Amino acid sequence: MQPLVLLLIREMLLPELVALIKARQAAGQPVTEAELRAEFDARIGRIVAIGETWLATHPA
Amino acid sequence: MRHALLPLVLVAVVVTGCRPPITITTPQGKVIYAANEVATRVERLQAAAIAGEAEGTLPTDVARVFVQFSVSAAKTLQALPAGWGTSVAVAWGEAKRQIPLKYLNSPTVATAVMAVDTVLAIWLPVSTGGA
Repeated sequence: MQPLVLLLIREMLLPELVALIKARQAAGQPVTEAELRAEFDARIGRIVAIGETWLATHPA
Repeated sequence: MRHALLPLVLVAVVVTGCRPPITITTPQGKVIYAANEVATRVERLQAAAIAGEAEGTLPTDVARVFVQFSVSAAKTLQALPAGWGTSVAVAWGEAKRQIPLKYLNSPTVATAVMAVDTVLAIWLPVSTGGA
């Protein structure tokens, strides 16, 4: 790769990517796919558990 | 000035909201990202409906429709993370038809309802293979 392109990636792109990842981590947002999957599964579990409990106590 | 900037802000929100983070690169990861985006809004809708019913601003029968939709949508998202689109969209349309407009537009749930409408508009084409 051209030295100029490498320099551009090292000086501009990498710090941006690291900053984005750190910002997501600081906000408690998933970064990896495993974290995303875990967050999704937990969210689905919460919706179903809370919803079914509420429906059981508020029958039609 | 504010009115002129609003469309630009909306476009920026939609454009950035339509893309998974750069760390999510595989097709499976993007599928889960889309499903999680929808589930996030569905969870907020359910919470708003339950809170509204508890506060007395939403009738129990109306809250029940929102909660039944939320549980059903969550189960569909989990079972079909890559193909939830049509099922969830049809269920959402049916749920909204059962709810009088004054409750759909009530401050208790209006924002959450709009958020579900928006997230479905963004991610439905992805889920149904249209984009």
